[in-house]
Amino acid sequence: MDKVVLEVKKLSKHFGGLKAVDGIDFKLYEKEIIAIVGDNGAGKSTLIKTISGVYKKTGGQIYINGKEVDITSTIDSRRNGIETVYQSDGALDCFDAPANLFLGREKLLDNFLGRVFGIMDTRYMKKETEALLKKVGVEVKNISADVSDLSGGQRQSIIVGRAVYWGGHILIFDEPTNNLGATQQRNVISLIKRIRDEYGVSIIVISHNIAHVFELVDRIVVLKNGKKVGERLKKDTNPTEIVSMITGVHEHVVNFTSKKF
Amino acid sequence: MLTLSMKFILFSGTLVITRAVSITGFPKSLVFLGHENIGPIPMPVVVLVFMAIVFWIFHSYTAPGRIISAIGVNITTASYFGISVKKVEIYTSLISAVCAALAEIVMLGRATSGQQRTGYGMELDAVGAVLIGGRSLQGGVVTVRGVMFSVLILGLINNGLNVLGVDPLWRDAVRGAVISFAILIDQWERKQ
Repeated sequence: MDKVVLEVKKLSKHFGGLKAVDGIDFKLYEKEIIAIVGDNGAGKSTLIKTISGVYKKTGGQIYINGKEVDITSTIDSRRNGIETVYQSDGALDCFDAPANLFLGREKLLDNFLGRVFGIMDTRYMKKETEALLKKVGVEVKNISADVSDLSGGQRQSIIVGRAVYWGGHILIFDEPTNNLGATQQRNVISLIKRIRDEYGVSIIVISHNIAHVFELVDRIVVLKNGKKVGERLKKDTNPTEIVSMITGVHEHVVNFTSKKF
Repeated sequence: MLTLSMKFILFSGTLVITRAVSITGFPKSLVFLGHENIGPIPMPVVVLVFMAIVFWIFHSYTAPGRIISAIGVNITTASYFGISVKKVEIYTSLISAVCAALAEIVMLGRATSGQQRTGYGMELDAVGAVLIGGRSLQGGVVTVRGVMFSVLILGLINNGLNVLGVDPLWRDAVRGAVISFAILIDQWERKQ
């Protein structure tokens, strides 16, 4: 747990005059799960989109396994072993599970038809998808069904499974339990934990569900207005402290039962 | 907007080059796609069926076809998946241009003379066919089968108006009305 796999130094992303991410530093250790929390607009999504190459950084450095990397596109981040699961638009609804798993990295037939005409090896992709879903413990009755016909949990498991399948060693999850039912939230949380244990990957989770954060992670980084306001090991903190860091309001300052109001 | 202005520039260009005179006397090798028959089947039908099969295979079984569909379904997701949207858009325009050129050769063969106004206004048919056969102008899944059926429908409407003896001057109005109706249905479905 003491090897740093990802380090971000003074990372910034400005949109014109808006400093969405402003000089953030943090480290991610091997086999660690950290949470990045913050209020809406704190810069969580922008931060991970900058690390994943959706946005180009305005300033700062990103180090992977101690080496500085230049990430300017989503392809760059994948090449460096970063796989990201986005909050929305993570899967194509009217495509089936194999198409979603292999999108942009389709397996071609290993013959003339594949090399010259780009004909896909659909049988291989289907078999791999079935094996992967079995591994992540998801049961999908009809693998050729459109992803939109699956439950939210199954859909999320496919997206999470895809990140593992492509061999990422740093996985980023943006609100993985959002819009899911209670049981499915449970399943996704245990799936993320299992992935860390089985594959030895490091994971960044973005969430505003503090209960889930405390269940899942080892360390919590708090953002506010594009800046890091603090970070705590889970064992050294409690939800109340984290919430007050997020809101910037300490309990003793606002006392709603006070007669003064 | 750029597409529309380009259309005017090129149309004007053809008028200037040809001095607005129609061209005749093309070699047989150029007009045979629109002019000849294979047995009882006219060449344009053969070309249509061939292209439909090619694009059906392209769309359903090849990686580039799937990537183009992916961008149509959700452009944000496609870019998250590491697909270079701009590059694919350029290739798609190229494919479309090659198809338009092929269509023009077929039309040339049918008329056996080069008219400057051939195909003028047919872009509405092309867009209409995709709209009626698929889902939406804003993107979505369009199947080759769907487009083939809508091309057939638009063709039948055109031909039906001829057979019924409707004043040809009204023909464009009817075509426009059919396509507008399809757009209205699409918008209405979107609101549901």
